[in-house]
Amino acid sequence: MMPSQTIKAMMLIFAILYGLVILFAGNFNFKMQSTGLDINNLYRFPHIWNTLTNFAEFFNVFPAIAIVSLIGTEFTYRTFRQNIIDGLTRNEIVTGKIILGLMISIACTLFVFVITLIYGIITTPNLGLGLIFQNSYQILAYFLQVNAMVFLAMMLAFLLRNTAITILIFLVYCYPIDRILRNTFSSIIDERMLFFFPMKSIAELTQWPTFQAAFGEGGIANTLQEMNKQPSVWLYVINTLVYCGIFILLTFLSIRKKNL
Amino acid sequence: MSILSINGLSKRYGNVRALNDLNLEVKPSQIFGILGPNGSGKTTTLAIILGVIKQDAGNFTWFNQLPNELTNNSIGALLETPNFYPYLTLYQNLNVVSTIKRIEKNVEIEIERVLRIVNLWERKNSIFSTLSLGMKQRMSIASLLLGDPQILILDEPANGLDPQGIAEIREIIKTEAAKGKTILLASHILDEVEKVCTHVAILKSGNLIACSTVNDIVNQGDTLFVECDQNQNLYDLLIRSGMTKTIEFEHKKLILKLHHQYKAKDVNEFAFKNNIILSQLETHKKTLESQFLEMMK
Repeated sequence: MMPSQTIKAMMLIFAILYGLVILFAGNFNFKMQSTGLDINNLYRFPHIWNTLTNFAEFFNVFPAIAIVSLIGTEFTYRTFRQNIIDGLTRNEIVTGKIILGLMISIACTLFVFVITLIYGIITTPNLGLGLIFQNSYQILAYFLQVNAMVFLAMMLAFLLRNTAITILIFLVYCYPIDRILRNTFSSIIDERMLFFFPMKSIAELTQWPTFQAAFGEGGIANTLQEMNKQPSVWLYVINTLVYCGIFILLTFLSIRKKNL
Repeated sequence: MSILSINGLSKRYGNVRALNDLNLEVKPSQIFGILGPNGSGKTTTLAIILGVIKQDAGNFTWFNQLPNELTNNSIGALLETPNFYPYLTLYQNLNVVSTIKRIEKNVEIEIERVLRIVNLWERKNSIFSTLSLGMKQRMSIASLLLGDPQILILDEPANGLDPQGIAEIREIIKTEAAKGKTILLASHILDEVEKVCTHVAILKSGNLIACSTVNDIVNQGDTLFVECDQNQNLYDLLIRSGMTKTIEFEHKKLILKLHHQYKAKDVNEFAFKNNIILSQLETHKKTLESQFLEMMK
């Protein structure tokens, strides 16, 4: 399926903005010898994988908007309806969009991987293969993260069938609403349950570099790390995979039940 | 064997009953017209059998089986307005349709064939959104012909077409019908339906009010003008005979509508048997349009 202009535009915006942010942030040199803080360490292997995938997280909205735009266009121009008339099944329609979502996610992930690799090679002295690919699992975590955002957007697009409303609800839920809900429930439920909220799980897949990365091994880093202890990343991986499954299931159910 | 069998199909949109217990059967090689005013349920019927809308009750079968991949590949359909990817060219859109219809061999040749049938081959590289309404409608017809399907379903195919286009559509339908294909045609242009269709179903407010051959429905409405020198005697005899649905005097003539099993020659024979010689026996044939309008009253 040939991508529409909107998909191309969104992916281009993702690439340009992400690239610009990396360039700007990477030039921000800050050292504080008394505490051992050296921001440059965050842009060197192995910690650069954590840093740049976390930056990429902020731009996941663009691939999500890309898939919403494509699905919304199909509902607006009734091409899903025509596909059914021509012989495509409803399941095949959703499967096609899941594959497209995966391709968009792969494209974003590959871009982040290449940028991180090149940037890290430039900034890191004393390179070795072991050092380069230490922490590179973060790329896989990022792939899962962008997929989850894309599948959430896809589910909303199939449910709401309107591009503008879907984008609005997607942005409102992802950024203020989920946080507001967590704050509201923090006084009612166990704090550990807050890690099961969808956006929390998805966001925490890509973990910021440890404090030791910025401050070096030492008392202040260990203290800060202890204060910000997080559950294992595997909890977030499993949560996110479950949410991806829920998003996909609801997408299939929505198109089976409704008229086109 | 039926090509299409519809049993008890019903559909509501909120408080509006779009279809009410529709039963219909289409046999192979029939050109089946579906007529009705706006909101009668024509498009709803076609949308349900094409799988676009879910019915509330009833079922339907294609080739005496539930719809499946094989039956879907045997159907080419045009439903309401043309729906293609606006940012793709005609050729690209038909490529998409070919992929969906699983046409694997000679795709380029097939696309050229259907575009030439509808006179759009020269516009194959035009973006779909740049076409006029009439051209979009022709593109829809090209799409439904792709893969040479056994069954064609057309919902208002003449929409947006000029008289030449309408004539071309009529020829396409006749050409495809001559190949033995089964055609379902929903249309408001009753003159076209009368020229092209072999059978017709008439819907009103979701109900089936007539279903027969076009000839039977048209002949139902024939009016006979009869004159003789014993009009009153003939009037009394015809009423007792049970041959007439209605009979009345107008000036010096009798105006009759016969039950569908009787023809004009039967009236002539009946009069002769009763020693009455008719000086005039004239049949005024109704058109499908006039019959349709009468049924809608």
